[in-house]
Parts: sequence; structure tokens; C-alpha cells
Amino acid sequence: MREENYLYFANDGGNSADKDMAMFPASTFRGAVSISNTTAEFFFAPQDGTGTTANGVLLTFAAVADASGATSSSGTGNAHVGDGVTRSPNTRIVMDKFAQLASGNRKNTNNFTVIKDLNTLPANEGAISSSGISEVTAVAITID
Amino acid sequence: MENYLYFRKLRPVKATATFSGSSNATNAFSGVGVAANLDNINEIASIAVTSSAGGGTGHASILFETTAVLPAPAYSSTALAIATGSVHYIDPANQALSNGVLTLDAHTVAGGYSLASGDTVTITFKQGLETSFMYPVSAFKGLVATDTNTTSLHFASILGDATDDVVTIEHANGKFEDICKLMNDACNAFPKEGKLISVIDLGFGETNILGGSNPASITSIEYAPEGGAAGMAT
Repeated sequence: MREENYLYFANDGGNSADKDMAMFPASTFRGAVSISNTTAEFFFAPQDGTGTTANGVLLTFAAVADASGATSSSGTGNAHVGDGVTRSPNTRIVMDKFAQLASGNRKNTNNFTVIKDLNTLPANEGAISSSGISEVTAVAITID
Repeated sequence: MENYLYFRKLRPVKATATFSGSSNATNAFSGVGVAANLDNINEIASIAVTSSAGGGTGHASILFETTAVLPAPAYSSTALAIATGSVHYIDPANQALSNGVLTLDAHTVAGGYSLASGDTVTITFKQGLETSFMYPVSAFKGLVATDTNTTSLHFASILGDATDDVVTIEHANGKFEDICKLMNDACNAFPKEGKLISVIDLGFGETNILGGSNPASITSIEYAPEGGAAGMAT
């Protein structure tokens, strides 16, 4: 039997509406792209089998501000505009953590992998094993 | 298990262009890779206009502030006085960026600024649409030399159409073997556990090529996903 790692996403709804939750085999992951300094979208082969319209999961995270900007040695005014939002380290951090989870060895385990679980189910029906990537604050699932 | 290949485009911390006097559009910004591929205004954190000789006219809503520290500029109205060397910050959301050229709204529009010849415009970059991206190794279809200093990496379309996503690498003349070695090492690193591999990261003044030296002298990468900017966000 082929091993597979299943990746679980749930938004902050109650798992009571369309696309509150989705799970994809890691092998169907096609890639991820930064959308803004607070979002990145992760694309998967479509569940409908057509292969033509990707399914996407948009993950939101914080733009890291430069709290020390006012006293930084690099100056004030024009030298500082945009400081702290430029590098947006969370983009790479979220991609890195996704890679770790998606490539994890699932041998001898009997559960799936939570990338992010934000649902508001009762405690006993909430996150199964983990709430997932801590930097992620919102999940939006698109399955056409 | 599988590696994931991470790339970040060439984006400096800042770039500056002058205004030569046409259609309120700057000259093309340089040092940003291929200017024709600089189209996403959400990669711009801020825009600062420095008046060359006190000319130009700004709408009252733009910010006039020469000493502010502005990670998150507040584009509220303050006294507006354009003078030689004065700096004004304008909201990127009100402007247009295409082919590496920034076109500002005129001063008659809220948030606009009419440039005078010789004015300089400095943009500060941030992470935006398609600034960085990653693919699973299994999506890598191969690479091909396209001219003496250019190699194109082909990946299966992220959206699933027939046209590949292409990452174009600019490097020193003839350095194709170094690009081949780079991709071989990136794809085959950590074959048992699988990791995110930072292959080429040229973001915000950095030059990180697989965590080591840069034998191919890579100078920029361009990214053309099959869906393009408009098709990427679902």
C-alpha cells in the first residue's frame, strides 16, 4: 500500500458550511505563491478530477512590523518608509512549516496532518492532534 | 518524502527613478530584474517623491512629512508645501505600476501628485503578489538554456493548464552547468525527510543561492506562472 500524508485545513467557521474544511493528499500539492505581504496561496490538484481548475487554500498571517524603526541606526524619514513590512518573514516561515508537515513521514501513524485548524467546534470535536501552523490566522478554501 | 523548492525574486529594499516629463509616469526603475515584469503594485510598500526644484503639485490629502518613521504611513491631510528637496509620501494604492514604470494620479485626484521634470521617485518594496513561491520537486520538469546567460526552469502549471510555469534565471555567460548542479543539489538534498529548500533568494538586498556561494553569478530571476498575476489568486 502506498503511504500518503493527508493535509487538513479548517477555517474559523463551525464546520457547518461549504468549504469550512478540506483535506488534500500531499501528493496533489502543486505549489504555493505569495499573494501579498500577509497572504500566500497553496494550490492542489482539483478534487473534481478535471485537472483544469486548481483548488486553493489561502493562508493569512501577520505582516511583521519593525518595532524598532524609530531608533534604528539607518536614519529617519525616507530611510524608514516601509521598514519592517518589506521582508515579510512569515511568508517563508509558513511555507517552511508547510513543507515540514507535508513531507513528514507518516509511517506507523494513524492520523492526518493538520496544517491549520481554526474551527469553532466543541472542544471534543476541535483540532484532532494539533492546531497547526501557529503564524496562520485565517484560512480560505476555494474549490470550484 | 519530497523537497520543496523555494524562490524569491530580485527585489531591492528601495529603487529610485526620475521623472523626465511625460504623462506623470516615472522612467523605468532599475535594479529590479526585468522591468517589464514589475507590474504588481502590492509589492510597493511606499512611494516617496523628492522635489527637484520645488515644482510639482500635490493633492492636499498626501502626506508631507520629512522626519516621520512610517512602517504604516497614515495618508492623512497635513500642510502641503512642495519645495526643493522636500519629500512627500503618497499612497501606492492610488497609483499604477506597469512594466517597471510608476504612473501617479494627478494632483487633482485624492492621493495624487503631479510631478515636475527632474523629480525623483523612491519606492520601497515589500512582499507582494508572486514575490516568492515554491514548488514540490515532483513538479520540476527540467531546464533549458535559452541564450548565453539565461536558463529557464520549467514546472508543471500550478493552476493545472497545459502551459508550464517558467522561472527564468539570468546568470554569467555559459554557466549552465552550475545551474544544473544547483537544481540537482536542491532537488536531491534531504531525500529521506524532505524539506523546504531555499534555491534562489534575491529578495530585499539578499543573495542567497542554496545557502552557499554563487558560482553561476546569478543576477536575477523572473517568474511567469501560467495563470499570471490575475489568475493566481483564486
